[in-house]
Amino acid sequence: MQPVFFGSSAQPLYGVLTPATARPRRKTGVLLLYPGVQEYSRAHWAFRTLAGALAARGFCALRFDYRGVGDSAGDPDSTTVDACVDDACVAASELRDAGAVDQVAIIGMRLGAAVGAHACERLPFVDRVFLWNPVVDGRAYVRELEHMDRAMRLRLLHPLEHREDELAGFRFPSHVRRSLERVDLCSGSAPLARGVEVFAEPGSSESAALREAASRRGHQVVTHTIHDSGGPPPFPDASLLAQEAIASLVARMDEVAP
Amino acid sequence: MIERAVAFAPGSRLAGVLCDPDPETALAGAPTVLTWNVGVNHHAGPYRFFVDLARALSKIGVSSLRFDLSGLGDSAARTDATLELERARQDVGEAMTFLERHHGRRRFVLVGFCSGVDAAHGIAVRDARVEGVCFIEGYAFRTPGFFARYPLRYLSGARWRRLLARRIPSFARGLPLLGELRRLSGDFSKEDMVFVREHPPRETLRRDYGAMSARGTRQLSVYMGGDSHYNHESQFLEFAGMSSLPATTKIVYLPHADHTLFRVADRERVVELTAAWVAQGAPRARGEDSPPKRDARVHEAVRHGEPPAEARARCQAAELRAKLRGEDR
Repeated sequence: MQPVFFGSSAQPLYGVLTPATARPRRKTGVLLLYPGVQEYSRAHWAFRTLAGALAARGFCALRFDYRGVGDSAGDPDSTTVDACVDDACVAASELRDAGAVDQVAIIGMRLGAAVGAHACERLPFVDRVFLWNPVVDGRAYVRELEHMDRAMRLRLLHPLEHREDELAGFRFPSHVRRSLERVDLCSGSAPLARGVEVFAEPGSSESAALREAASRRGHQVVTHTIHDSGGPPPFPDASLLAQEAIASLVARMDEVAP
Repeated sequence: MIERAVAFAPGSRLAGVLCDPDPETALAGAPTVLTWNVGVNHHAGPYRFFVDLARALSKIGVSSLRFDLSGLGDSAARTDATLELERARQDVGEAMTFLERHHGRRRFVLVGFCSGVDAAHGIAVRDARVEGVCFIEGYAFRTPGFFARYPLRYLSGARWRRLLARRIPSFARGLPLLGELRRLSGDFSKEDMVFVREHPPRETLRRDYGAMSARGTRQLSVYMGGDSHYNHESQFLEFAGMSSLPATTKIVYLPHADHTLFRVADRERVVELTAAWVAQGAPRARGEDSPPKRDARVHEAVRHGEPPAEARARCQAAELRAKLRGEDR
């Protein structure tokens, strides 16, 4: 694991590059996109494990913090979806350079899946995007976060009413809320290119909606069923292990990526 | 502020972020603050607490290193068979040695949060390089004073609401009378928070606190009132067997904050008071004179009857708080 800061010196992004530990080294590097601010900590251990498992199959992996999240510059006021997409594009280029790979595949979890779906539009060298329990509808996602916030407040003995600009432990100004609510991976303008695969729980409505939206545009979305998939968390401080989901993601990447 | 990703210890096993203030604002003689992961929460800390603290410290000219212990967060595992606590102590020791050898730092302040307190306490007791230690949700013992106040919790509406949510049987969750509780109650059936820790014996703690004070090691303990074993300001004195706090020790009790500082305002408060406490120790350590503006305010307070030492500490703390908030004084 190699911790690095990259990107612009004014807004450096923090990431951890995990070089391939197995030979032969793959031509594809894997960019891992964390969920949003509120679910980030919960996914950290799972992402470390996923990066290690990919490295053991010959892939170089980069996981990084969006601006305003983890160790990257900025505060959560700056973490809009558009900003995350910009950061993902910077990170993909960094992975190509630092990991010395030709192509990049993306694995994005929850909001990271939506970010990955948008980022791949701008990145010609990305040919594969795995959406891990994706956030498909931004409005539903915000409602889930609001529910999580109130459950935490109930549990921690805080008043259930909260400040408008705070949600699930972090600042949540109105422009960040609006940017999340605009996410709609099923809309006509949403990117659903070839190479998109969905990993979701059995009976996932998101998975079905994406499949249908893609077929309307003449694409086919491959879907996979996983069980411990990192769906909406009951509490943000409950760490996710997701061993089965990780095994499925790695096995599929091993199968399809050069 | 300059942040650098660093890897240190044998095999570059440990990973972290060194956060230095801009050279022109660096507080000469200030110690370097060390923070590390809390359980499986990596070095950014619960709700990014350690990142906020590091950046607040850099604003007042203090450097910090936040890192992960072996095998956690972004750090690789050790290959030896050392026990967990000893491993943590060795890792923190290696962080100090790295900063000494490669960055010329000589003095340190450790900030332990929850389970991180175990390593912070163990090292602060025996390592003379540690000039200050901050325990956030550190050791606490229930005392007669605690039990005397215990029944007050039955007056809390929030506790009754939570109890009700926990007890709603699944068949009753459809009842509209229960309002939002019926939806929230479902979450309690999935998992629950467990913060169970082992404490050193009370006698050992008393001896350790005494030894640190005798050596001049400053100690700040911050306790939260939410769901904790600490429910009043003077509880520390009771279990530490002290009649009054030594000059080296400061206790802060935040009755409405919770263990992981979920609310932004609670987090900001702890960041602010911790940063102010760190900086208060720095000028004394280097024997530096107070800035002239502060001297005037101290003089004025003394003229109105405030003891000089208290006036100086109060003015300095107010100055730091203003600086953290970016106010122009």
